[in-house]
Amino acid sequence: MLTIAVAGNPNTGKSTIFNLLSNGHAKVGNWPGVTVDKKIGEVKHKTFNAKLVDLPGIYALDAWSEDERVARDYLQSGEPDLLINVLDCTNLERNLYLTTIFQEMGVKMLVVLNMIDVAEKNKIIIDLKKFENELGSPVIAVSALRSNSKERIINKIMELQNANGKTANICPNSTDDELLAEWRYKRIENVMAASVKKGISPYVQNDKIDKIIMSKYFGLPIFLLVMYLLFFLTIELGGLFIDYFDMAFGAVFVDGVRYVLESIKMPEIIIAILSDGVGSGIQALSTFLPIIFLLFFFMGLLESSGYMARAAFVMDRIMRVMGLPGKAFIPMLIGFGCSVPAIMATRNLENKRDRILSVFMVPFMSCGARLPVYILFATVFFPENADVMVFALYLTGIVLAIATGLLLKGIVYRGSLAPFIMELPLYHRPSIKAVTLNALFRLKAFIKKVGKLLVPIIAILGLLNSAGLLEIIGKAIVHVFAPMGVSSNNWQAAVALFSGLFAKETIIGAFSSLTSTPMQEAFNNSSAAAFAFLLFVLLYVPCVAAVSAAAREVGFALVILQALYSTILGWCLAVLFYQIAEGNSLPSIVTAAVLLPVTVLGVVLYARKSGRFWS
Amino acid sequence: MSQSISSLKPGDKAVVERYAPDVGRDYKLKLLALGLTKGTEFTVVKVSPLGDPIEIELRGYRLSLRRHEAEVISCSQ
Repeated sequence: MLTIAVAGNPNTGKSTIFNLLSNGHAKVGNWPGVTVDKKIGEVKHKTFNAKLVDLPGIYALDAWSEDERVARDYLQSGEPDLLINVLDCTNLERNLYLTTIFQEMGVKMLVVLNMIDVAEKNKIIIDLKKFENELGSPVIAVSALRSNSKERIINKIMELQNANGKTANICPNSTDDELLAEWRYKRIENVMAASVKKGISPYVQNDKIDKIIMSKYFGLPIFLLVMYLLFFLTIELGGLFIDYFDMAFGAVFVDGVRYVLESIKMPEIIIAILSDGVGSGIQALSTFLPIIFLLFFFMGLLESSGYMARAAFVMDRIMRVMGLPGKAFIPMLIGFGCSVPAIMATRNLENKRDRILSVFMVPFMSCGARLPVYILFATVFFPENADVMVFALYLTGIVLAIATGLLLKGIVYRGSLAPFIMELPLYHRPSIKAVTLNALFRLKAFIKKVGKLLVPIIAILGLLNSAGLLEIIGKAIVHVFAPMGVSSNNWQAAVALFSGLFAKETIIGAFSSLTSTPMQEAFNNSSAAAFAFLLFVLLYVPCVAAVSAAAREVGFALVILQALYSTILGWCLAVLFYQIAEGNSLPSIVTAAVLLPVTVLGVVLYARKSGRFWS
Repeated sequence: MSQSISSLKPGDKAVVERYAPDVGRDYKLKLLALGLTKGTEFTVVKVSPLGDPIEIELRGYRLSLRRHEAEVISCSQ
């Protein structure tokens, strides 16, 4: 079968063309060795049938970023029979730079001038015959809004197949970076001069909106409002659906499976594995679906309306202090709702280093699952000032996130903040269909990749639970928590922490289901011990879902490093807090005071050692 | 008079003169690919509400850069 690659600059409507040709159906994969999504679709039209591969949006093929490396390697692999180069008609000059590079590579190519309707509206006149002749590659002008575009592109492709493809033979005359770029742009200027009449600036309308949205005084407040809405709609609206998903999937995959298996007299062990194990794993996975879909839906709206880039433009100055680009604000914010979508949102960051830094910082943001734990403990132990205690925990998390960011930025990745090169796209009315398709695509990726880890892990934990092994585990590990004020007869607290690995909101449920002792008594009426416990709840390993999501983004080694780092950090801080406030056990204080810097040093050394491979 | 991009104000027009010799090759390749070749005219159009980054218009499109990073480009007004 014919293989067609689709390439072009970012913001050229490349994915619109991809969706148009593949009828919106795409399979998700990964490019080898990198976390860049690989989209594969199929073009079917009458007798025509081809495989379509979407390349990441790029400006050149200098292997500067993962994206460019992926694109270059794929084109050189010889797999694609034809390249569709998508260009934005309203920004031809810059877009043509990539086209000239493809020509120099000698790949067989069809140049698709996209958004011809916008160009016509802006009175940009392109003489296609002359343009094609000057450029030396076959050209077609389309608009995704026009119904015949798909057919026209396919007809053109078939024409090229039959014509046995002549490729432009263009040889640059220099190997010097500057001279080569100048030579390419000279060529482009000639093509433009011969065939394109410049229209009115597309920025006139745009500037009117930007005058308010990006103004000195309103820029930041508007940004904060938009972010608040993003957070509110994702977490609150998504939260409304969580219980329904939980109940529906629980009814089918846990209770339903059990009912069916019991009715056909399956042995209990098999029922337990399929129902309490796999079933509850699927149930846990399902609770993330509404939030993740909504997050990507709203992020898609921001992205395609043109605001996302502006948010990054506004926040860059502030986030840079932590060594992160402006865009990294979004995962941090979403982290207060749920770490899982927050970690997935790090994929929008261009550099691996920024993604790693964010993945280290996100879990310190107190997620929605931790809040009920805080509130319950705080109202029991600090009835007078529960709100202050909860706020103190949130603040501790934020401070530790920033400290972690500064630590990693200052020591591990010093000076390697990627240069900021970005385009603020024109404001654009988003297509709800395209945004929905994209959100569903990301949701599918989540189910496939994260579910693969999450379901088995939860299945194993669920089995341990139903086999009554949790009590044994709790009694075994409770001693580890003794220095932070958890006495050894309070093993239920240890079990609660263990079950918190599934999802942190289960901590309360697990605790109260195991003991009828009032909470004050269990913690020996010590509010210091209770606060230390909450500190640990804030900091120890994020739930398995977050760990699975992070493993997908940055790999297992770093996720284990992060989990160890945050857990030991949590233990040390909880111990220091409890012992200084109440326990006064010198050996415990010394242990924590020594372990803390050792851990930090360990993380720094490891990250530094492996850091060479990430840049 | 040759000066750096970061000293320009919104509305200012300038022409790219040369790159600082110590510019990182990756960054330079990127800027070149984006059309900031010698002799290219550009206009500063926007400054972020917090003063940085800035947005310039060249070759019929617009590009955002951080002030201190863009200092590697000398230009003349």
